[in-house]
Amino acid sequence: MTRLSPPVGRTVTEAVPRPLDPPSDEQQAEPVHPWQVVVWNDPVNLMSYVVWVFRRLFGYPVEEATRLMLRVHHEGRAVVSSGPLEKAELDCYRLHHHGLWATLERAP
Amino acid sequence: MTGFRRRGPEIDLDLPEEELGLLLLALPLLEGVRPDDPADPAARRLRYRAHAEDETAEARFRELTAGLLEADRAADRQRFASSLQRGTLGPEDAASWLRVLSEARLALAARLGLDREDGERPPARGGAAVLADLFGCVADELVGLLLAEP
Repeated sequence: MTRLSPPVGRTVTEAVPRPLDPPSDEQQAEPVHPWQVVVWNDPVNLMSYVVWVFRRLFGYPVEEATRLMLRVHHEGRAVVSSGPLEKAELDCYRLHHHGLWATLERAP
Repeated sequence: MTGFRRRGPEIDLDLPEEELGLLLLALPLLEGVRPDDPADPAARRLRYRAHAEDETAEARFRELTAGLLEADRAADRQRFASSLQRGTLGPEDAASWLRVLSEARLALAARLGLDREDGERPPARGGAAVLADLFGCVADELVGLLLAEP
């Protein structure tokens, strides 16, 4: 790696660290994952099919996809993905296309 | 039942002719579901909400996706029919098969009252219930084959 040195005859101004001003209300950053996609239990879709859908859409390993499917089955719902609104809506649409009951909600 | 045989990236159908004929009944069933028919339980089941408590956001979501969902479902039915006639499924054909069979099961279950959350199911038998069972068996076998992939 080439090491850079200041040109001869010129001085380097040292940056003086100073604390940043706290962000104003308008500048407050959105949470990283402000929306989450929830899949709800239904008594018709096959358990194996739901596992396959979670793998296909979100790339979960079989074990994780199965864990999420069982959470839907036993607890009635499970969060399967999260992200900005546009991504969450796309995920929700893809789940609808696969016949799964999915809704969006704000991440806590 | 072993209705599918893996052959490299493709899957060969090994189902009897009469079963293939029954599977094709999924198509008129689904084509007969009018998405906005409030009197049809199948239409209500296949209509989804993304924003359960925000009507404005839901209207925007529906405007963006309703036509797309219909087009995607029609494309699935087309893939399902053509690959069934061909006797071989590519990976995307198999995905379309699973979506069509699942959607058809959902529609039948809704009309037969088999989708009640309270677990109380009417003793509905007959042709529609047998068809729903067949769709479920075939879908379960196909998904088992797909999940067995590394």
